[in-house]
Amino acid sequence: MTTTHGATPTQLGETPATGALCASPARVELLDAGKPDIGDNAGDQDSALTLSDALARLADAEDTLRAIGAGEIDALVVSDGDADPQVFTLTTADRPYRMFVENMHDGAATLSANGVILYANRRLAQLMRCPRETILGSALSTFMTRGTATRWDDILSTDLLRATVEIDLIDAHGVAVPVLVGTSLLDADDDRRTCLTFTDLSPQKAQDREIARLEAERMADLQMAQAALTKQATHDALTGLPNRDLLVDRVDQALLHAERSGRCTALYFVDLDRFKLVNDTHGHAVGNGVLRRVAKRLVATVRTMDTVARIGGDEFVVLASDVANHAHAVEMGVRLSNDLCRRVDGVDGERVAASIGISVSEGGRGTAEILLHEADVAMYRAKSLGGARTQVYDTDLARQARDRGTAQQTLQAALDDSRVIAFYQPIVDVVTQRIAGFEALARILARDGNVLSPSAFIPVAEDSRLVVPLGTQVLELACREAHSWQMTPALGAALTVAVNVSSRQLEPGDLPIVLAETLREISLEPDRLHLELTETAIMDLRPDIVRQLVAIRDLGVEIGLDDFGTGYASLTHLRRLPLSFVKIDQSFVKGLGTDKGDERIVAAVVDLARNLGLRSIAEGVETNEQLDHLRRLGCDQAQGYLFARPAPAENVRRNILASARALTENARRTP
Amino acid sequence: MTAIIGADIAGDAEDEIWDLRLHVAGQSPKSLDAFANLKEMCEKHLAGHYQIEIIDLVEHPALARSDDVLAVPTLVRRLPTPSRKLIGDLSNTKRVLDYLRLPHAPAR
Repeated sequence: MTTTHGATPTQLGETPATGALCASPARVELLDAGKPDIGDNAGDQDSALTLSDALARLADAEDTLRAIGAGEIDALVVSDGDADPQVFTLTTADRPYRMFVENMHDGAATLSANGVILYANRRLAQLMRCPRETILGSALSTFMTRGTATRWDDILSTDLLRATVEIDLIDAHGVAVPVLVGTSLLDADDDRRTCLTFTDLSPQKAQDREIARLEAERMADLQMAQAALTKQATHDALTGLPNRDLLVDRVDQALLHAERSGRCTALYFVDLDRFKLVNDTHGHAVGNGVLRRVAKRLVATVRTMDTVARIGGDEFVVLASDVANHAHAVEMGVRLSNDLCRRVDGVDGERVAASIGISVSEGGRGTAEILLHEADVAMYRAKSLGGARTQVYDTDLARQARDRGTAQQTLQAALDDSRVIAFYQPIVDVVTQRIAGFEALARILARDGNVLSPSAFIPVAEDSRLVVPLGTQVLELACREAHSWQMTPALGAALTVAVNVSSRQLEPGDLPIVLAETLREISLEPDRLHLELTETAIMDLRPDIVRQLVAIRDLGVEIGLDDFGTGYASLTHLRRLPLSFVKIDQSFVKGLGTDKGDERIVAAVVDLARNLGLRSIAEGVETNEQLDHLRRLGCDQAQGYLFARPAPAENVRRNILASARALTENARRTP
Repeated sequence: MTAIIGADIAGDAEDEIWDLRLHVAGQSPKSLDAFANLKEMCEKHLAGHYQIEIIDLVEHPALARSDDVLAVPTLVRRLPTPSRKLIGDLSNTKRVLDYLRLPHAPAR
């Protein structure tokens, strides 16, 4: 009933909004002036407000006033004639939204239909670096380049509204500010207003540029690192020479080329003589210096087209491609050798010497690996002939290499199958001729039951690491055997066993521990065990080796020098090392009675040993005459065929039991 | 008017649906308040028996005319008849209940 009357606003004199705001006087006016009218006009419903309408309006106005007084409304509806009413929101009503817009991180603006900025927030003024008053009333296009403005018009005229678009605004100082513009249409009617937000993209762009810069830097670093890695992968760090991989590659290329040209390709395997000694005695810095000088000299000697590579510690390989013939290739090897000997300083005023193995391929025969192997074999031969020479690979060498390979396989198999055994040769007191102990000697029991002589495998063992497991196995066998003697009082006095120790067994540095464990495990009294070291094993008096020997001596194990006089041992060694005995090499013993020189040497060694408190033991005693000489010279002990050949453990046990009885009887007969 | 005031609709017809129309101006704070207050009261007293139509006069100003709306927010009770109108944010619960002749008693 209140909604369908045909009220005419003019009857109230003013728009409802104004009327409402001034409702109190209006009501009074109506009540005072209108009462007679109400009565007069009661019958004229077409042209005048009915009483009930008027009362309803008054009630509305009153209610509106009450609501205003109570702060319950925040918008008024204003009607003006036939036009649609307009809604006016109180300015405070949109304060929360204004707060959002004013303080938001993005710029915001409202544009009129013709692009004039009606409203701009604080942030937009900041972005444009000018006061807000300057912005308001300006066309947005004044903050754009001409090109952007054209594009912007296109954007607005299409249906891309409510989309986002990236443009550059030009700020008050003429600087381009990249922004992301969000657009939304405020009013779908004629008065098209556009609401815009502007997100500043400068920080992001700067970040993007920084990321791009860092990425570029990273790529550059990566490329450098890759180049370095490539170099590292193909070159030797110390000398800068190509390494083995690169060498193999180049040899293969040279061989391919030689296939077509029919010419020769030569490899020179250069190994410095006694280089390990330089490193051990002078340190690696000095050794590295020598290596660098050698590298430099080799590069200077060869042709520019040749390759000099370093493929191991003191191993260099020179590749000469496109060599006319075999003779030329050999000639080049000799020139390399001479050049090194004459031009490169070693240490202690000595020149460097090298063993050079040469392999030659004609017309691209073979592969890089084959040529390298052949040159290696030839170098090995040069070294075994005393070094400081060149050796060309030929079929003899091939056979030798095969033999060595076979011997190594035999030894490896024997180690794997526990077919390593020990033979024992007695060491006898020169005066009493009583057996003091035995030297344990390694033998291999072949699969056919034969015993292989040491010459078949000892050199191979020494050259390869196999000497370490071989030494360990023999040590254990000898200790077990000595323990069985220890447990058989009938054998007589405390028999000792002497075991050979290779220099390679000292390299890991744990020999004292291995020995202590072996002794404990087998329950052998330490003084029953003697170790024999070759002079070369201890010639450089390396601190770690001396330390190990002292530790071994402290276990109660005696240490002696084997083959004394043939190697490098000096008086210094005899004094500094914790030795108990020296063994005089059989080459001197052999001359006793026939060679005055040998006699003098043996006499001097025996004297020296006695003065240093060491026992002297003569090796290879074969005749009674030699024994007489030794007795006269005061040598303590002797071993050799005169007494017994090396024999298996069971023979030894049987024989020494017999000889012990014999000696005992002998002693009884001649007290 | 007296008829209206004297009318007692609520409770007469259990199944009668209250048809309410709320005139608002966008999301002005008082509009939001009014809607929240109305919703709460309806849930409490008319649960399952009412429907609220929201008229946004910012978007559809012409609709103000149909209910003679002068101020926002304004609530119009269209059903049950007679139609009644209440201006304000409906924050005074007692007044709203009295005016709309809703029972004071707890929820039905």
